[in-house]
Amino acid sequence: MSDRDELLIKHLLNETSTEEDTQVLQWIAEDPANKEYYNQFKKIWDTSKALEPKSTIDEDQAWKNFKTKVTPSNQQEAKVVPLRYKYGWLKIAAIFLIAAGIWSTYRIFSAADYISVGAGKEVLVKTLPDGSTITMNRNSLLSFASNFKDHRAIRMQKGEIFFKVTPNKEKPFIIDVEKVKIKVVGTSFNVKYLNEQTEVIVETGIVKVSIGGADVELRKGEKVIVKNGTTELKKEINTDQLYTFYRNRTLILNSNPLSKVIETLNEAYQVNIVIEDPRIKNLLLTTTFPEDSLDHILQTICETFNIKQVHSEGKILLVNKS
Amino acid sequence: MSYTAPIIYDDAAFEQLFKTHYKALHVYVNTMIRDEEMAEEIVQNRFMKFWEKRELLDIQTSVKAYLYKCVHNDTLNFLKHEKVKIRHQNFTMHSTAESEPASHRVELNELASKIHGAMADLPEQCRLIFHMSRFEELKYREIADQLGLSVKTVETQMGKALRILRLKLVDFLVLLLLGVWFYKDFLN
Repeated sequence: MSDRDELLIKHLLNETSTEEDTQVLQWIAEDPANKEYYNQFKKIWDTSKALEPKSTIDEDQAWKNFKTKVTPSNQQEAKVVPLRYKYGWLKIAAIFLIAAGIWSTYRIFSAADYISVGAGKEVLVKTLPDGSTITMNRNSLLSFASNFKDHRAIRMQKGEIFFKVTPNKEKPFIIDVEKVKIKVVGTSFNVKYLNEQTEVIVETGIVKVSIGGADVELRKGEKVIVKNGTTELKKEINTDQLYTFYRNRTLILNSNPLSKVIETLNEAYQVNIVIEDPRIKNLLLTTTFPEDSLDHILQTICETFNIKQVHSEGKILLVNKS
Repeated sequence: MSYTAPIIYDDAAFEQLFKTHYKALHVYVNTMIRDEEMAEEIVQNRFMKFWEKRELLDIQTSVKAYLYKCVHNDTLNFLKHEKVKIRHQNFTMHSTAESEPASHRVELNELASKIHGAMADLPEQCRLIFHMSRFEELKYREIADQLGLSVKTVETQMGKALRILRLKLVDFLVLLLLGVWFYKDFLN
């Protein structure tokens, strides 16, 4: 049945071979019912042609319409909705990342970071984060490591500073002065770095001073002076207490030559006292001036040695009365 | 244009695809629903879906067969929704076609509209092959090539299509061929 139908349709559509054509025509001729059967197919086939829709569609126009529909909605979807959500989280993540980056960078570099402390026109007493106290003479400048509790490192740029170091054997206290390295555990000592030389005077405990490969250990009452450009470390006995003056405000003189005393006064009071007479320079002085004004100190000195002071052009000249 | 290896549709390729098949697909959908505007919307929407996932578009069969299959399903879905809509609107007295604006429709004689109605019941492949043969006037060989089928399959499907249509219309055809139709006209 279905084979016959297929053959009839093939014939109807002119798809048959001549042989098949003969076969179909023969079958149709056999019976009027066959003919009617075939005609029904033909009627359907022919009539259905009327169903063919006439499309007035223009592909190019349709494509243009399609593009305009597709393009903005595409952008909207791509730019406004999903991207914002996506990058919203990314932004937050990025902020955290940047913050973490800055923080860790800060941590890394802060290890090498130093905090500066300077004394201006006044003597400055300061307690360091580890509990050590420092007394800075006028115009002194140092910096200490920002993580000082873990890393007790100090760089001394200039001036005179008295250190009273809190003992801590695990964390040595190290001061760099130019090329000189001062290493202590818990002691008190005075460091002076002026006029291109470093002077260390120990008051208590042991202080290790090194430069290059050489080092020297100083104990109470000992001092060392290192001139810039040399690596010589020569231990000496400290003979005067002048270095304590800026700190204690008490000038303790113990057979000190007048020239040395004047030097200390010049530094302490930022004045320019000059002794031109060599006979006066080496006069020895033993006394104590507790918290006193320069005028009073000078007056006492003058009275003691029977000399006089002459003020001229910002200088104070000490001269013999006679 | 028979078998197509999976290709990535860039803009140019997509435009080519669109322009090659748009009109034929429109005609095909239009034969099913007899509404040009709606047909155009269905085809446009179908291309929109292709566009959205064109990176994933992996057509294993012939492109043409695939496109026709898609719009066929879309159209059936559309008709299903229409029916539901109409049922809700209580247009029980009218068929889908009758509720549509007359301007969109082509006047048909009674047999033609009956054929149209009967075509709606053809299975998808059957209908497509009939459509290509009848309206695109393609030979069996051409249909087979375009859809990636054998000529024998096309033959079988064509036989099936006409047999189904005949069975649905046979009563009407008998009357028609007997000239009852003319009698009816005479009575009027």
